[in-house]
Amino acid sequence: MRNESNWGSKRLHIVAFLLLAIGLVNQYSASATSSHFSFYRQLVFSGVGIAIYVFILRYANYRLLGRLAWIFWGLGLLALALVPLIGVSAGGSQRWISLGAFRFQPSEIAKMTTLLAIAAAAGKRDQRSLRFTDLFTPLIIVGPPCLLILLQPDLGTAGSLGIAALLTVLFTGVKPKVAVLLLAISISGTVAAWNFGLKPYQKSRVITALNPEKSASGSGYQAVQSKLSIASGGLTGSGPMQGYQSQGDYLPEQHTDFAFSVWAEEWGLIGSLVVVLLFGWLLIEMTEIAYVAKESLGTYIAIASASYVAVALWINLFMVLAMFPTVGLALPFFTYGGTHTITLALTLGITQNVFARKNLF
Amino acid sequence: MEGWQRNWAKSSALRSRIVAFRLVLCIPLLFICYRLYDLQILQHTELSERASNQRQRVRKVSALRGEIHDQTGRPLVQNAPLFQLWAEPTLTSSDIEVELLQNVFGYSTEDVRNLFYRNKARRVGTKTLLIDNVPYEKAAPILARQDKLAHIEMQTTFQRDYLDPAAASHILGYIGEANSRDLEENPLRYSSGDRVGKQGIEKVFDRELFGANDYEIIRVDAAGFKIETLQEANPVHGSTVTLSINYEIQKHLFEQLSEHRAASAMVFDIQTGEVLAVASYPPLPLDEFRYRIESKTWQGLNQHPDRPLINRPFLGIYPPGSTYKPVVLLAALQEGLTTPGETVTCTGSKRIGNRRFRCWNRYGHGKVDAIRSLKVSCDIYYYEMGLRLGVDAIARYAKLLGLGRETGVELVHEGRGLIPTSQYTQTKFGQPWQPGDTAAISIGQGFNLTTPAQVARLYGSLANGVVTDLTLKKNNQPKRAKLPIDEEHLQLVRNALYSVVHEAGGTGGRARDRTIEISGKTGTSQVVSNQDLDLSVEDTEYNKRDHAWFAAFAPSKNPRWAAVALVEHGGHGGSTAAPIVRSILHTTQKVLNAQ
Repeated sequence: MRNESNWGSKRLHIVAFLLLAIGLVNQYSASATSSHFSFYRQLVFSGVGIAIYVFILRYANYRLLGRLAWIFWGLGLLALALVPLIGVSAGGSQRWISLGAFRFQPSEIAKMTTLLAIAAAAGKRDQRSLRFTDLFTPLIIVGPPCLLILLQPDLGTAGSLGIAALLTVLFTGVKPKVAVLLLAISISGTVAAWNFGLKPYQKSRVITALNPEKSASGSGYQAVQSKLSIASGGLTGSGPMQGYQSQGDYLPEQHTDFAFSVWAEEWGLIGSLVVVLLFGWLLIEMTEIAYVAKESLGTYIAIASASYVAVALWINLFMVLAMFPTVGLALPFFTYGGTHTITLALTLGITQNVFARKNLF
Repeated sequence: MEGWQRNWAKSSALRSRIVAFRLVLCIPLLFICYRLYDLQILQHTELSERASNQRQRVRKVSALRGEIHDQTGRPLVQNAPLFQLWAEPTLTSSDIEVELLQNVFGYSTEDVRNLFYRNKARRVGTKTLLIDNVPYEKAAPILARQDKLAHIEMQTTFQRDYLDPAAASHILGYIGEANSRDLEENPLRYSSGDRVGKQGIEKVFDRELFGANDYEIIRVDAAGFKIETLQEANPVHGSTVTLSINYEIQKHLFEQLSEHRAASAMVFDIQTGEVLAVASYPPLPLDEFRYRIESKTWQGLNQHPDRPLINRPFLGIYPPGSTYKPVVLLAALQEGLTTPGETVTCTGSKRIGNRRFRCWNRYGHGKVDAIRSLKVSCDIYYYEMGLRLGVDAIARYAKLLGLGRETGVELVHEGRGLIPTSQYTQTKFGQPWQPGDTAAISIGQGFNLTTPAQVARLYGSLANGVVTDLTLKKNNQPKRAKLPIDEEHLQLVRNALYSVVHEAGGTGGRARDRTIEISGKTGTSQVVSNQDLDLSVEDTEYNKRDHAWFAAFAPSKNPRWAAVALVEHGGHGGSTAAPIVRSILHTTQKVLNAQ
């Protein structure tokens, strides 16, 4: 028993599969106006995702992955660098690479490999509080991919990567002075991005988020429609497949970034809170693995993974609730899409692998 | 060990750090929970109402306009579907709608753009009325694909469908889009875009015909397609108006008129006041008024020399000519100023004041008594009677017999005409009334003006001693008033009118019919002045000719109907108008006895 890997955290299995089931039910409803096309595709992605998840948790070795983190990081960076050269454009930005019949988003992959590299770098260090000089390595790791993603431009992914990396670094322990510096870097980075990095449509999105009513049919349309959909749900919701807003096609991107609005309209406050609570539970189970991990690399991998999921959650939900600009970021388990579903499966799989191997070595 | 730190695992320091980290991760979730509560509970009512408003459209559902039937229930005016193509100006050449318009109508993208430009005034909401009155063959392919077309819409509405667009055109009238005055006058019944009665029966009975529109509430998707009906509209369809008109008689009457340039005729039931047939020629082209009236069409009608817009039987005012003579005779008999046996000698002319007044027969009629005066229509006899009576006494009897006042028929406008009194010249021209003026009005000329309908009513009154108002609606029972004139005088006039048609030397011999005995009177009214008409050379002769009258009742023994015909510039009443009245009364008897 002692020197065997197990089948991962049961509670994490349960919460992940509950969320997956809810996400698929919602995808079915959200795709009703397009004969459930995206639902059936998502069903396939989910099957592939589950296979990857089980395979990683059972047969991978996170320490090996940790040692190879730099190579993965390099590959992720390479994929990102290829986007401007051979990438496919959609909606004003270049985010995709075609691989035969498949298209994938390198930024999703790079996000994961970058966080793995951060965790690996932190794991090498002892657990004393970070000094200024210790910030150098994470900055080297996060900077280049973040910049390349920002250039696509994909503000949502770049931002979420930055924040998730920052959270992971913060977890490894910082002195107050370092915390202040990190804060200063974040703020000045934001200001610089606003002035030099953001395209006009991105700026207008930010402004819209602050006051979505200003242009209800222009850039604020999605935010307003999402707000109206969610509010229409009330306490108990309109029932599955009964959302007036979603079934009437008022919600743009309702099968992708705004999938949660469909859920909130059809299942009401009760259904919405259930989902938020499940997400909270998911984060707790992921961080619990950080506690039971055999050594700090496992801890940091679990923490980085939890940060990755948490930041995606925050940004997407803030966005659909019209509290944040419409940046376009996937909601785990809810958003239709192959790359991010498989990335999520890899992330959860590695985390489970940390649990599975907690008694090994 | 492989170089990884492990001294941290499962330590209490790690536990407390993880607890803190969990707090950091979950605090935003609390904000999210609060925001959900805020939107779904606190703002639920307000925002869901806003959401449902954007999903709903209120759409007017027009009531179907009532039909107009003749007295036998034959539909004179019905509804037929009308297809209109509405489109959004945002249409671009890549839309499938443009391709469809190309296939169905053969329009290029450029043509479509021009159509939008031409019809830019016909815009309601986001859509513009692109093509009005689309034929069914072209509407069908678009209607079949309607649920896949977001930017164009084939709307189905109604237009009027006429059994006979000419025969009763002035009476039926027409509909048109409600203008600002219509909307102001009937704010509850009409709303913008409604088509409402503009003239004739369509206007007068609009309350019955229009019904009541209603509104439906539908749920639409983001593109504006209907998903479901939330509230059905229950428009109250207009009810049928049944006229007193008999189409068989009407058609015949109209055909009689169509042989002339400008004429009118009418026949009515003297017991009920119901008009059986009445027409004005030239007719209105109702075929061009089915849905809307183009201003070009309107202008053409307005400038037409024969003035087809005038409903002559009720709006045309003419001197009554000799058809007026029974009024003067009755007045003289009733006032005791003459007796049936008294004779007046006609030498062909008579001096009144310093003017010589002629009889139409310049050789003179010799001795003329009451009956003969009507039979030969002797002017000298009437100059004499007129002078005995004086203008005011004549006017009193004329008013009594319904002249110079409306017949009460259900039309928007009706001419009143003019029956002058001794005050007339004073107020109008500042000159005292002259005996010569009395002489002129005694034979129905001068200042006298009547409508053909009034003259028809006069002959109905002569037939049964009752002055009735006229009506175009079946079973309407209009007002009736018994004449305060002795029956023996009325009977004398009836006998005289019989002799006009049936005795040798009578002026109305051409009204004699083999199946129905007709009593009537000819009239030839002089066209006094044509100076106000801007006439072309070839029209001058026509416009100088006299108007031809004939008015009658029938059957002579037991009168049921009275009729009139007036042919403008038709020359002599006896030759032009009498055959029309004969034919109308003949047909009236035939049609009504057959039914």
